[in-house]
Amino acid sequence: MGFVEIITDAATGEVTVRELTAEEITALEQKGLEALEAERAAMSLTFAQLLIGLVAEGWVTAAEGEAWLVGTLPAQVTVLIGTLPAEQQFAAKARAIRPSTILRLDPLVLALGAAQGKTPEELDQFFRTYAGV
Amino acid sequence: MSIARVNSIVDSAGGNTATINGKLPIAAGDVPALVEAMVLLGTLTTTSGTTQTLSGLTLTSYKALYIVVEGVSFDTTARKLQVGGATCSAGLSAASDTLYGLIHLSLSGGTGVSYITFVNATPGSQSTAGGGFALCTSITTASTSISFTLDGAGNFDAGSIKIYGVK
Repeated sequence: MGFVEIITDAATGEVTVRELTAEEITALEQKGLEALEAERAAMSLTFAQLLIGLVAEGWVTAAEGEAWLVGTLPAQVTVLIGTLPAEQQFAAKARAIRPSTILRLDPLVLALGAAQGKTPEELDQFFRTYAGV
Repeated sequence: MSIARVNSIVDSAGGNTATINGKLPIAAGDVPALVEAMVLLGTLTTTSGTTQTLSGLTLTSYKALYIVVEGVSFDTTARKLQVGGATCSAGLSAASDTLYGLIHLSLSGGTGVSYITFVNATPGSQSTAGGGFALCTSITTASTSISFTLDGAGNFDAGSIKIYGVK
């Protein structure tokens, strides 16, 4: 079934089906995009949630996760930071080693995700899933 | 054979107050009409459609709507339930999650509050609270329909929503 409105008449119980117009569908899809952008802006993880998720998903090994816990970044994170302008590298390293909150839309998160071949939707699901652990 | 015991009692105004079997009889015409404080206006079966609407409503005699959400779900993750265009739930973490909860909507201004949580489908898993939402809609006593939507593309695929009018 496409985009339809199911209308139940309270007085008679009769159910009718109305197809949404093209304008309504466009508005609905735009509403969805706006809702997703708002959700992404609000997504965050703690450092623990991030590491639990990365190891659980296999995006880093357990050994890399253990090392990150005590301040040694995984190789792929170090490599990515090395590609940043020199004046930005220390700040990126500090935020990566001792993050307080990891934001979904943080530039380092976006860059790491892209470097690892993760789609925006995969990142969305990662944040949704591990925000609850 | 039943025996009726009749007593005659004189009240302060001098009238007789007769009882039958110890109980005061009341004439049928004196029995007050049953007042239903909460009336089920309709039930939406939310197993399909992008929008679910209850139409043909007459809300002029009600002060509020009380809405019960039972096992509602969508075929898309992250989607939130909306009533009258106002978001009233958190987004589903998985399409298999289901929404349960309550909405109270005042018909004097269309404002209200919802408390709807979603339950993970995994047996034995901890339910996740969705929290409370303040609502601002244009639903009033003049409204003749109430619609429930998702906050984006997707379809309802489970559950029901009961709408009660509160006097």
